[in-house]
Amino acid sequence: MQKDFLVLGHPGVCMTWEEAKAYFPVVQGDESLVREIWERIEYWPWLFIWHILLSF
Amino acid sequence: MTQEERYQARLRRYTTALRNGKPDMVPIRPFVAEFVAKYAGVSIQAATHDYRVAFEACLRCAGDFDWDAVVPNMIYVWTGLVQAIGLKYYGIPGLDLPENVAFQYKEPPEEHAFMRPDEYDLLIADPTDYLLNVWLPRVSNFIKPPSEKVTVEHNLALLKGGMAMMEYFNALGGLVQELRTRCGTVAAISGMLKAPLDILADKLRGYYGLVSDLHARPEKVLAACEALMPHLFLIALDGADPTKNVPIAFWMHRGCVPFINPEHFRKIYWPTVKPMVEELWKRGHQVLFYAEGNWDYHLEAFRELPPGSIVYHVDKGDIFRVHRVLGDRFCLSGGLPNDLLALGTPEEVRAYCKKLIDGVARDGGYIMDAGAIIQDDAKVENVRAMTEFTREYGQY
Repeated sequence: MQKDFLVLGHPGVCMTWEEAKAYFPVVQGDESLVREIWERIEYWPWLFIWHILLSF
Repeated sequence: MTQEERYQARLRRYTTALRNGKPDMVPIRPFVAEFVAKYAGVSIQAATHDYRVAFEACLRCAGDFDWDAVVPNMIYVWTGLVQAIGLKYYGIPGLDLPENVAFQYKEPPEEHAFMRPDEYDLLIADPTDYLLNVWLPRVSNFIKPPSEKVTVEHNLALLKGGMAMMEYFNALGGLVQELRTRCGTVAAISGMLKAPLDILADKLRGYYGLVSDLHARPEKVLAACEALMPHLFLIALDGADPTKNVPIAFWMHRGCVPFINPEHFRKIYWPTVKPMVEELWKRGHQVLFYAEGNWDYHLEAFRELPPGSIVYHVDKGDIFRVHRVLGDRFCLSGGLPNDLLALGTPEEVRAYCKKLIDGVARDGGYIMDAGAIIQDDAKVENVRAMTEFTREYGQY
Protein backbone atom coordinates (compact mmCIF):
# COMPACT_ATOMS: atom_id res chain seq x y z
CA MET A 1 0.00 0.00 0.00
CA GLN A 2 1.44 3.35 -1.07
CA LYS A 3 1.89 5.88 1.73
CA ASP A 4 -0.10 9.12 1.48
CA PHE A 5 2.64 11.48 0.31
CA LEU A 6 0.67 14.56 1.30
CA VAL A 7 1.17 13.86 5.00
CA LEU A 8 4.83 12.81 4.85
CA GLY A 9 7.68 14.94 6.22
CA HIS A 10 7.61 18.71 6.52
CA PRO A 11 7.89 20.17 3.02
CA GLY A 12 8.13 23.95 2.90
CA VAL A 13 10.45 24.51 5.85
CA CYS A 14 14.02 23.57 6.72
CA MET A 15 13.60 23.96 10.46
CA THR A 16 10.12 23.37 11.83
CA TRP A 17 8.63 25.72 14.40
CA GLU A 18 8.72 22.88 16.93
CA GLU A 19 12.51 22.66 16.47
CA ALA A 20 12.93 26.44 16.43
CA LYS A 21 11.05 26.88 19.70
CA ALA A 22 14.15 25.68 21.54
CA TYR A 23 15.67 29.07 20.67
CA PHE A 24 12.59 30.98 21.87
CA PRO A 25 11.48 29.20 25.03
CA VAL A 26 9.13 32.01 26.05
CA VAL A 27 6.78 33.72 23.63
CA GLN A 28 5.03 36.47 25.50
CA GLY A 29 2.62 37.47 22.77
CA ASP A 30 0.78 35.63 20.01
CA GLU A 31 2.70 32.43 19.27
CA SER A 32 0.63 31.62 16.20
CA LEU A 33 1.77 34.90 14.60
CA VAL A 34 5.42 34.17 15.41
CA ARG A 35 5.04 30.67 14.01
CA GLU A 36 3.34 31.87 10.83
CA ILE A 37 6.09 34.38 10.06
CA TRP A 38 8.80 31.90 10.96
CA GLU A 39 7.41 29.38 8.51
CA ARG A 40 6.88 31.99 5.81
CA ILE A 41 10.55 32.97 5.92
CA GLU A 42 11.66 29.35 6.31
CA TYR A 43 10.05 28.70 2.95
CA TRP A 44 12.87 30.59 1.17
CA PRO A 45 15.81 28.37 2.20
CA TRP A 46 13.62 25.34 1.58
CA LEU A 47 12.83 26.64 -1.91
CA PHE A 48 16.50 27.43 -2.45
CA ILE A 49 17.84 23.98 -1.66
CA TRP A 50 15.12 22.15 -3.58
CA HIS A 51 15.57 24.35 -6.64
CA ILE A 52 19.31 23.77 -6.52
CA LEU A 53 18.51 20.06 -6.65
CA LEU A 54 15.79 20.27 -9.28
CA SER A 55 16.46 23.29 -11.47
CA PHE A 56 20.18 24.01 -11.26
CA MET B 1 -4.74 43.42 -34.13
CA THR B 2 -3.23 44.56 -30.83
CA GLN B 3 -0.66 42.45 -29.01
CA GLU B 4 -3.24 41.68 -26.34
CA GLU B 5 -5.75 40.50 -28.96
CA ARG B 6 -3.04 38.38 -30.53
CA TYR B 7 -2.17 36.99 -27.11
CA GLN B 8 -5.77 36.10 -26.33
CA ALA B 9 -6.22 34.39 -29.71
CA ARG B 10 -3.04 32.38 -29.20
CA LEU B 11 -3.96 31.50 -25.64
CA ARG B 12 -7.35 30.20 -26.81
CA ARG B 13 -5.71 28.19 -29.57
CA TYR B 14 -3.06 26.73 -27.29
CA THR B 15 -5.34 25.88 -24.38
CA THR B 16 -8.00 24.38 -26.65
CA ALA B 17 -5.41 21.99 -28.03
CA LEU B 18 -4.00 21.31 -24.54
CA ARG B 19 -7.49 20.12 -23.52
CA ASN B 20 -7.45 17.79 -26.55
CA GLY B 21 -9.87 19.99 -28.44
CA LYS B 22 -9.82 21.37 -31.97
CA PRO B 23 -8.83 25.05 -32.18
CA ASP B 24 -8.90 27.25 -35.30
CA MET B 25 -5.49 25.95 -36.37
CA VAL B 26 -2.65 23.73 -35.12
CA PRO B 27 -0.82 25.66 -32.38
CA ILE B 28 2.95 26.06 -32.62
CA ARG B 29 4.96 25.88 -29.42
CA PRO B 30 8.64 25.15 -30.06
CA PHE B 31 10.83 24.53 -27.02
CA VAL B 32 13.56 26.81 -28.34
CA ALA B 33 16.71 26.74 -26.23
CA GLU B 34 20.16 27.71 -27.59
CA PHE B 35 18.48 28.33 -30.95
CA VAL B 36 17.43 31.75 -29.65
CA ALA B 37 21.08 32.73 -29.12
CA LYS B 38 21.99 31.62 -32.61
CA TYR B 39 19.06 33.51 -34.12
CA ALA B 40 19.82 36.67 -32.14
CA GLY B 41 23.52 36.50 -33.05
CA VAL B 42 24.86 36.19 -29.50
CA SER B 43 27.21 33.57 -28.10
CA ILE B 44 25.94 30.68 -26.05
CA GLN B 45 28.19 31.86 -23.26
CA ALA B 46 26.47 35.26 -23.27
CA ALA B 47 22.98 33.76 -23.24
CA THR B 48 23.78 31.20 -20.56
CA HIS B 49 25.87 33.33 -18.23
CA ASP B 50 23.81 36.53 -18.51
CA TYR B 51 20.13 35.64 -18.45
CA ARG B 52 19.21 39.14 -19.62
CA VAL B 53 20.83 38.32 -22.97
CA ALA B 54 18.85 35.08 -23.17
CA PHE B 55 15.62 36.89 -22.33
CA GLU B 56 16.16 39.45 -25.10
CA ALA B 57 16.99 36.66 -27.56
CA CYS B 58 13.83 34.81 -26.53
CA LEU B 59 11.75 37.97 -27.03
CA ARG B 60 13.32 38.60 -30.40
CA CYS B 61 12.42 35.09 -31.60
CA ALA B 62 8.90 35.36 -30.19
CA GLY B 63 8.50 38.68 -31.99
CA ASP B 64 9.82 37.43 -35.33
CA PHE B 65 8.19 33.97 -35.52
CA ASP B 66 4.45 33.35 -35.49
CA TRP B 67 4.53 31.01 -32.49
CA ASP B 68 1.59 30.66 -30.13
CA ALA B 69 3.66 29.84 -27.08
CA VAL B 70 7.29 29.50 -26.03
CA VAL B 71 9.08 28.54 -22.86
CA PRO B 72 10.26 31.63 -21.02
CA ASN B 73 13.96 30.94 -21.24
CA MET B 74 14.59 27.35 -22.21
CA ILE B 75 18.29 28.07 -21.56
CA TYR B 76 17.06 27.53 -18.06
CA VAL B 77 20.30 27.20 -16.12
CA TRP B 78 21.72 30.62 -15.31
CA THR B 79 25.38 29.71 -14.98
CA GLY B 80 26.17 32.95 -13.15
CA LEU B 81 24.22 31.51 -10.23
CA VAL B 82 25.89 28.13 -10.69
CA GLN B 83 29.32 29.76 -10.51
CA ALA B 84 28.38 31.82 -7.43
CA ILE B 85 27.53 28.63 -5.53
CA GLY B 86 30.46 26.72 -7.02
CA LEU B 87 28.37 23.79 -8.26
CA LYS B 88 30.70 21.05 -9.45
CA TYR B 89 28.37 19.23 -11.80
CA TYR B 90 28.17 21.81 -14.58
CA GLY B 91 30.33 22.52 -17.54
CA ILE B 92 29.85 26.25 -18.12
CA PRO B 93 30.13 27.73 -21.64
CA GLY B 94 33.07 30.10 -21.86
CA LEU B 95 34.47 28.90 -18.54
CA ASP B 96 34.92 25.11 -18.70
CA LEU B 97 33.72 24.81 -22.28
CA PRO B 98 34.20 26.73 -25.52
CA GLU B 99 31.93 29.78 -25.65
CA ASN B 100 29.57 28.29 -28.20
CA VAL B 101 28.97 24.91 -26.57
CA ALA B 102 25.78 24.50 -24.52
CA PHE B 103 26.14 23.89 -20.78
CA GLN B 104 26.75 20.28 -19.80
CA TYR B 105 26.06 18.07 -16.79
CA LYS B 106 29.00 16.17 -15.39
CA GLU B 107 28.02 12.96 -13.63
CA PRO B 108 30.74 11.67 -11.32
CA PRO B 109 31.80 8.00 -11.51
CA GLU B 110 29.79 5.65 -9.29
CA GLU B 111 32.43 5.51 -6.54
CA HIS B 112 32.36 9.32 -6.26
CA ALA B 113 28.58 9.79 -6.40
CA PHE B 114 27.34 12.81 -4.45
CA MET B 115 25.23 10.51 -2.27
CA ARG B 116 26.75 7.31 -0.88
CA PRO B 117 24.88 4.00 -0.91
CA ASP B 118 24.79 3.79 2.90
CA GLU B 119 23.13 7.21 3.22
CA TYR B 120 19.60 6.24 2.17
CA ASP B 121 18.33 6.26 5.75
CA LEU B 122 19.58 9.81 6.26
CA LEU B 123 17.87 10.97 3.09
CA ILE B 124 14.64 9.15 3.96
CA ALA B 125 14.53 10.52 7.51
CA ASP B 126 14.74 14.16 6.43
CA PRO B 127 15.41 14.92 2.76
CA THR B 128 15.78 18.68 3.26
CA ASP B 129 18.25 18.26 6.10
CA TYR B 130 20.25 15.77 4.04
CA LEU B 131 20.35 18.09 1.04
CA LEU B 132 21.41 21.14 3.05
CA ASN B 133 23.95 19.55 5.32
CA VAL B 134 25.38 16.59 3.40
CA TRP B 135 24.65 16.94 -0.30
CA LEU B 136 25.10 20.69 -0.86
CA PRO B 137 28.59 20.82 0.72
CA ARG B 138 29.59 17.91 -1.53
CA VAL B 139 28.37 19.46 -4.76
CA SER B 140 29.72 22.94 -4.00
CA ASN B 141 33.30 24.09 -4.10
CA PHE B 142 32.56 26.69 -1.43
CA ILE B 143 29.88 25.47 0.97
CA LYS B 144 31.06 23.58 4.07
CA PRO B 145 29.27 20.87 6.06
CA PRO B 146 28.25 21.68 9.67
CA SER B 147 31.24 19.69 10.96
CA GLU B 148 33.75 22.06 9.32
CA LYS B 149 34.69 25.63 10.06
CA VAL B 150 32.80 28.08 7.89
CA THR B 151 34.78 30.31 5.58
CA VAL B 152 34.27 33.63 3.84
CA GLU B 153 33.65 31.70 0.62
CA HIS B 154 31.01 29.57 2.35
CA ASN B 155 29.13 32.58 3.69
CA LEU B 156 29.30 34.41 0.40
CA ALA B 157 28.20 31.40 -1.66
CA LEU B 158 25.04 30.97 0.40
CA LEU B 159 24.24 34.67 0.39
CA LYS B 160 24.97 35.18 -3.28
CA GLY B 161 23.23 31.96 -4.28
CA GLY B 162 20.03 32.78 -2.41
CA MET B 163 19.88 36.36 -3.60
CA ALA B 164 20.74 35.42 -7.17
CA MET B 165 18.02 32.79 -7.28
CA MET B 166 15.47 35.30 -6.10
CA GLU B 167 16.67 37.80 -8.71
CA TYR B 168 16.40 35.18 -11.47
CA PHE B 169 12.93 33.94 -10.58
CA ASN B 170 11.64 37.48 -10.23
CA ALA B 171 13.10 38.33 -13.63
CA LEU B 172 11.40 35.28 -15.17
CA GLY B 173 8.05 36.71 -14.11
CA GLY B 174 8.96 39.89 -15.96
CA LEU B 175 9.83 37.91 -19.08
CA VAL B 176 6.45 36.18 -19.05
CA GLN B 177 4.80 39.59 -18.96
CA GLU B 178 7.02 40.96 -21.73
CA LEU B 179 6.28 37.98 -23.96
CA ARG B 180 2.63 38.92 -23.63
CA THR B 181 2.89 42.70 -24.04
CA ARG B 182 5.72 42.94 -26.58
CA CYS B 183 5.05 39.82 -28.66
CA GLY B 184 1.53 38.59 -27.89
CA THR B 185 3.09 35.21 -27.07
CA VAL B 186 1.96 32.83 -24.34
CA ALA B 187 4.39 31.40 -21.79
CA ALA B 188 4.02 27.71 -22.63
CA ILE B 189 4.57 26.17 -19.21
CA SER B 190 4.66 27.18 -15.57
CA GLY B 191 6.29 25.20 -12.81
CA MET B 192 8.12 21.94 -12.93
CA LEU B 193 7.90 18.37 -11.74
CA LYS B 194 10.51 15.65 -11.69
CA ALA B 195 10.22 11.99 -10.85
CA PRO B 196 11.78 10.94 -7.53
CA LEU B 197 13.65 8.11 -9.23
CA ASP B 198 15.09 10.49 -11.82
CA ILE B 199 16.29 12.84 -9.09
CA LEU B 200 18.09 9.98 -7.37
CA ALA B 201 19.89 9.22 -10.62
CA ASP B 202 20.47 12.79 -11.81
CA LYS B 203 21.94 14.48 -8.77
CA LEU B 204 22.33 12.02 -5.90
CA ARG B 205 23.41 8.46 -6.69
CA GLY B 206 24.16 8.86 -10.39
CA TYR B 207 22.65 6.55 -12.97
CA TYR B 208 25.02 3.63 -12.36
CA GLY B 209 24.70 3.96 -8.60
CA LEU B 210 20.93 4.00 -8.81
CA VAL B 211 20.80 0.93 -11.04
CA SER B 212 23.02 -0.95 -8.57
CA ASP B 213 20.74 0.13 -5.73
CA LEU B 214 17.60 -0.98 -7.58
CA HIS B 215 19.00 -4.50 -7.40
CA ALA B 216 20.86 -4.38 -4.07
CA ARG B 217 18.43 -2.35 -1.94
CA PRO B 218 15.15 -1.74 -3.83
CA GLU B 219 13.20 -1.16 -0.60
CA LYS B 220 15.49 1.75 0.28
CA VAL B 221 15.11 3.22 -3.20
CA LEU B 222 11.32 3.06 -2.91
CA ALA B 223 11.37 4.62 0.57
CA ALA B 224 13.65 7.40 -0.68
CA CYS B 225 11.33 8.08 -3.61
CA GLU B 226 8.37 8.27 -1.23
CA ALA B 227 10.27 10.67 1.03
CA LEU B 228 11.03 12.95 -1.93
CA MET B 229 7.44 13.06 -3.18
CA PRO B 230 5.97 15.70 -0.81
CA HIS B 231 8.79 18.10 -1.65
CA LEU B 232 8.63 17.55 -5.41
CA PHE B 233 4.87 17.98 -5.27
CA LEU B 234 5.10 21.27 -3.38
CA ILE B 235 7.75 22.59 -5.80
CA ALA B 236 5.40 21.73 -8.70
CA LEU B 237 2.51 23.47 -7.01
CA ASP B 238 4.62 26.49 -6.07
CA GLY B 239 5.46 27.27 -9.70
CA ALA B 240 2.13 26.30 -11.24
CA ASP B 241 0.07 28.75 -13.28
CA PRO B 242 -2.42 30.34 -10.86
CA THR B 243 -4.89 30.78 -13.75
CA LYS B 244 -4.52 27.02 -14.50
CA ASN B 245 -4.23 27.69 -18.23
CA VAL B 246 -0.80 26.25 -19.01
CA PRO B 247 0.66 22.99 -17.75
CA ILE B 248 3.37 22.15 -15.26
CA ALA B 249 6.31 20.64 -17.15
CA PHE B 250 7.31 17.14 -16.09
CA TRP B 251 10.87 16.56 -17.31
CA MET B 252 11.31 12.81 -17.84
CA HIS B 253 14.85 11.52 -17.91
CA ARG B 254 15.95 7.93 -17.30
CA GLY B 255 12.97 6.26 -15.70
CA CYS B 256 11.94 4.25 -18.75
CA VAL B 257 12.82 0.88 -20.18
CA PRO B 258 15.62 0.11 -20.99
CA PHE B 259 17.29 2.49 -18.50
CA ILE B 260 15.42 0.58 -15.80
CA ASN B 261 13.57 -2.71 -16.10
CA PRO B 262 9.76 -3.06 -16.35
CA GLU B 263 9.41 -4.27 -12.75
CA HIS B 264 11.26 -1.26 -11.35
CA PHE B 265 9.05 1.02 -13.42
CA ARG B 266 5.91 -0.76 -12.20
CA LYS B 267 6.90 -1.00 -8.53
CA ILE B 268 8.95 2.15 -7.94
CA TYR B 269 8.91 4.75 -10.73
CA TRP B 270 5.22 4.85 -11.57
CA PRO B 271 3.76 4.52 -8.03
CA THR B 272 5.81 7.54 -6.99
CA VAL B 273 4.83 9.67 -9.98
CA LYS B 274 1.19 8.82 -10.69
CA PRO B 275 -0.22 10.02 -7.32
CA MET B 276 1.46 13.41 -7.74
CA VAL B 277 0.02 13.87 -11.24
CA GLU B 278 -3.43 12.79 -10.05
CA GLU B 279 -3.30 15.18 -7.10
CA LEU B 280 -2.20 18.09 -9.31
CA TRP B 281 -5.06 17.33 -11.67
CA LYS B 282 -7.51 17.24 -8.74
CA ARG B 283 -6.35 20.78 -8.04
CA GLY B 284 -6.87 21.82 -11.65
CA HIS B 285 -3.30 21.64 -12.95
CA GLN B 286 -2.43 19.81 -16.15
CA VAL B 287 1.01 18.23 -16.43
CA LEU B 288 3.05 18.19 -19.62
CA PHE B 289 4.89 14.86 -19.89
CA TYR B 290 8.10 15.85 -21.66
CA ALA B 291 8.94 12.28 -22.64
CA GLU B 292 12.58 12.73 -23.54
CA GLY B 293 13.92 9.69 -25.39
CA ASN B 294 11.48 6.88 -26.06
CA TRP B 295 8.77 5.99 -23.52
CA ASP B 296 6.59 3.93 -25.86
CA TYR B 297 6.92 0.86 -23.62
CA HIS B 298 4.94 2.69 -20.93
CA LEU B 299 2.04 4.13 -22.90
CA GLU B 300 -0.50 1.77 -21.32
CA ALA B 301 0.57 2.94 -17.86
CA PHE B 302 0.07 6.57 -18.88
CA ARG B 303 -3.43 5.67 -20.10
CA GLU B 304 -4.33 5.04 -16.45
CA LEU B 305 -4.32 8.80 -15.84
CA PRO B 306 -7.60 10.75 -16.00
CA PRO B 307 -8.49 12.02 -19.49
CA GLY B 308 -7.12 15.52 -20.07
CA SER B 309 -4.86 15.42 -17.02
CA ILE B 310 -1.67 15.43 -19.09
CA VAL B 311 -0.26 16.62 -22.38
CA TYR B 312 2.09 14.02 -23.84
CA HIS B 313 5.16 15.28 -25.65
CA VAL B 314 6.89 12.88 -28.02
CA ASP B 315 10.63 12.93 -28.62
CA LYS B 316 12.02 9.68 -30.06
CA GLY B 317 8.85 7.67 -29.58
CA ASP B 318 6.63 6.65 -32.49
CA ILE B 319 4.14 9.51 -32.46
CA PHE B 320 1.69 7.65 -34.68
CA ARG B 321 1.61 4.75 -32.21
CA VAL B 322 1.35 7.20 -29.32
CA HIS B 323 -1.63 8.79 -31.04
CA ARG B 324 -3.34 5.40 -31.42
CA VAL B 325 -2.83 4.56 -27.72
CA LEU B 326 -3.26 7.94 -26.03
CA GLY B 327 -4.83 10.25 -28.60
CA ASP B 328 -8.40 9.77 -27.36
CA ARG B 329 -7.41 10.87 -23.85
CA PHE B 330 -4.60 13.40 -24.13
CA CYS B 331 -3.25 16.16 -26.34
CA LEU B 332 0.07 15.30 -27.99
CA SER B 333 2.94 17.55 -28.99
CA GLY B 334 6.31 17.28 -30.69
CA GLY B 335 7.47 14.43 -32.88
CA LEU B 336 9.39 16.48 -35.44
CA PRO B 337 12.91 14.98 -35.40
CA ASN B 338 15.58 17.39 -34.22
CA ASP B 339 18.11 15.90 -36.63
CA LEU B 340 15.83 16.94 -39.47
CA LEU B 341 15.89 20.53 -38.20
CA ALA B 342 19.68 20.35 -38.00
CA LEU B 343 20.57 18.39 -41.12
CA GLY B 344 17.50 18.39 -43.37
CA THR B 345 16.22 20.83 -45.93
CA PRO B 346 13.16 23.10 -45.62
CA GLU B 347 11.35 20.82 -48.10
CA GLU B 348 12.03 17.79 -45.92
CA VAL B 349 10.84 19.67 -42.84
CA ARG B 350 7.61 20.66 -44.60
CA ALA B 351 7.04 17.07 -45.72
CA TYR B 352 7.50 15.77 -42.17
CA CYS B 353 5.20 18.43 -40.73
CA LYS B 354 2.55 17.36 -43.28
CA LYS B 355 2.97 13.76 -42.17
CA LEU B 356 2.53 14.83 -38.53
CA ILE B 357 -0.54 16.98 -39.15
CA ASP B 358 -2.16 14.33 -41.36
CA GLY B 359 -1.32 11.54 -38.94
CA VAL B 360 -2.06 12.96 -35.51
CA ALA B 361 -3.66 16.41 -35.76
CA ARG B 362 -6.76 15.91 -37.89
CA ASP B 363 -9.13 15.95 -34.92
CA GLY B 364 -7.23 18.59 -32.93
CA GLY B 365 -5.33 17.77 -29.75
CA TYR B 366 -1.90 18.32 -31.28
CA ILE B 367 0.74 21.04 -30.84
CA MET B 368 3.55 21.39 -33.37
CA ASP B 369 7.05 21.14 -31.92
CA ALA B 370 10.32 19.35 -32.37
CA GLY B 371 10.93 16.17 -30.43
CA ALA B 372 13.46 17.71 -28.06
CA ILE B 373 14.52 21.21 -27.12
CA ILE B 374 15.79 23.11 -30.13
CA GLN B 375 19.46 23.96 -29.77
CA ASP B 376 21.87 25.89 -31.93
CA ASP B 377 22.31 23.05 -34.42
CA ALA B 378 18.86 23.73 -35.87
CA LYS B 379 18.94 25.71 -39.12
CA VAL B 380 16.98 28.95 -39.03
CA GLU B 381 15.43 28.20 -42.42
CA ASN B 382 14.18 24.85 -41.14
CA VAL B 383 12.58 26.36 -38.03
CA ARG B 384 11.00 28.94 -40.32
CA ALA B 385 9.74 26.16 -42.64
CA MET B 386 8.18 24.34 -39.66
CA THR B 387 6.44 27.54 -38.60
CA GLU B 388 5.21 28.69 -42.02
CA PHE B 389 4.09 25.27 -43.20
CA THR B 390 2.15 24.61 -40.00
CA ARG B 391 0.40 27.95 -40.37
CA GLU B 392 -0.51 27.26 -44.00
CA TYR B 393 -1.46 23.60 -43.77
CA GLY B 394 -2.56 23.39 -40.15
CA GLN B 395 -5.84 25.28 -40.53
CA TYR B 396 -8.97 23.46 -39.36
